[in-house]
Amino acid sequence: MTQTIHQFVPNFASGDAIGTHVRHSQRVLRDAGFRSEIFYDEAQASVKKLGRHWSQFDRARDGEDGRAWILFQLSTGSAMTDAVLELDLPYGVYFHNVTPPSFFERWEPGAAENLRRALHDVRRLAPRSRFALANSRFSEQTLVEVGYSPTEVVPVLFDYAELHDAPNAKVLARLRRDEGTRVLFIGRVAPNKCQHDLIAAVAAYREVFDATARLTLVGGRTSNVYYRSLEVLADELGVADSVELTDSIPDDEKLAYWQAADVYLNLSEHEGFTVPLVEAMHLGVPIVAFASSAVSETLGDAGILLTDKDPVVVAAAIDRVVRDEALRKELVDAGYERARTFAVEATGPVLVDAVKRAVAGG
Amino acid sequence: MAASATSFPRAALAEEIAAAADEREGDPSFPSARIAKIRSLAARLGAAKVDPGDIRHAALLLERHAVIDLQVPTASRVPGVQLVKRAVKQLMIWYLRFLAAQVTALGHATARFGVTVASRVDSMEAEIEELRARVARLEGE
Repeated sequence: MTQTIHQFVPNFASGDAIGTHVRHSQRVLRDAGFRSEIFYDEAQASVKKLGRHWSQFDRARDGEDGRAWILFQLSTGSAMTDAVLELDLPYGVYFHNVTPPSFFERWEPGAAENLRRALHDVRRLAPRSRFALANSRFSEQTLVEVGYSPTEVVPVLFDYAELHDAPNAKVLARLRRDEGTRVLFIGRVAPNKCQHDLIAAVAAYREVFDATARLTLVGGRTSNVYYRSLEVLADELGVADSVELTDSIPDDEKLAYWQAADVYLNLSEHEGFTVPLVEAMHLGVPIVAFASSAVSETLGDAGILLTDKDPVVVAAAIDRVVRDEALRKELVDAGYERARTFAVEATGPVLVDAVKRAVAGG
Repeated sequence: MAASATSFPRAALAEEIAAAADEREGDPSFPSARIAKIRSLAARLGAAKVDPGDIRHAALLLERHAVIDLQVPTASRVPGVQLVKRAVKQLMIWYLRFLAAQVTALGHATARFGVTVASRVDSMEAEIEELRARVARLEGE
């Protein structure tokens, strides 16, 4: 008999890690013979047609009178938590991790409150959850601490094919006109991602090693106040002309930044899983990163992992990667190898097996 | 995944880099004052709590809250009220836009003023520190 497992996702977007993961999860589950639909609370216009609002979930029809399962993509506080609990269907969660509210307290008290709610929801869902999947061992640890069982790590699903479209030629030409080392970071502008440390590191690198170096921060704003503080910081450090905050940009422009990058720098203090690190590995951009949260396990040996993010130490690491050809080649090769382990061809079956085991166990 | 054999053992490499940074910092030509400024300004943004005297943060909060949201909620559970609210919103929107633009401009100007004052205070504090150090040196001679 065909088994059904529907995905519930609070925010369904086209370009972010969760939205991409949800779309690929649906594909691999369907390919494995599951019936699987997507239900969301909020959705971007471009992906709305791929699912339905959760209020349209019919327990008799969609829930097959209690036989269907739910896979809840847990990352934020949402009204869907109550819906999942009230539906009284067997469910499991896929935990994308929740940023500790303390990072946002100072910048966006409202966002901090939402994160507290999300952590509360993580605890509320635990007792009746039949299985729990996490995007990393780091995230799995949180699930175990709040009582989920059984738990398993299934990396985020995404497809490298999207990274091989043509880059925006105009942007690429502009980037290639500039001299100097080009340092890149991709991720939402949020206090836990510590873009201020990136600006400080590149300011120090310009001061000590390469006065023409540039930093590009690609990513939309999670905190406007933090975003403005970064602009002010760059200005006060006299590097405003060398630090580019792009905000959200189309994929083809992002690809141009990838192609022009000499080093990918990540000094984030909290990541559940870091898709751009894997993208950097796949695209052959050497990585310097701060060893925090899930960064170390995502990167493995395929980059330079620092335990100190003092601007001068980070600057020295960038300098080493840029100047030492043999090290650079070794990091790039190690990155290619590691990136293969995160390809959807490798991770899709891990998800399917985990779901099959859970459903078979009832 | 098992760690692969590497010509540059990663832990040793990180230590090597830290040592290279230390060495660089000990060089007489190292731009110590400039790096101290970089460390101090970045550390401010990394702090979990705001220093009550942080004028920059206060100015940026002001700037953020000076943005007036013109999307007034029009939902209502009372039948017909939603339509009335929508109509009022449509009628008032030109007026609200005019007011909001002025409030936002005032907020931005005030925030810019705050950031400028903060920068001036910082550079004065740095000068005072430098003068103190010079006085201490001269007194010691």
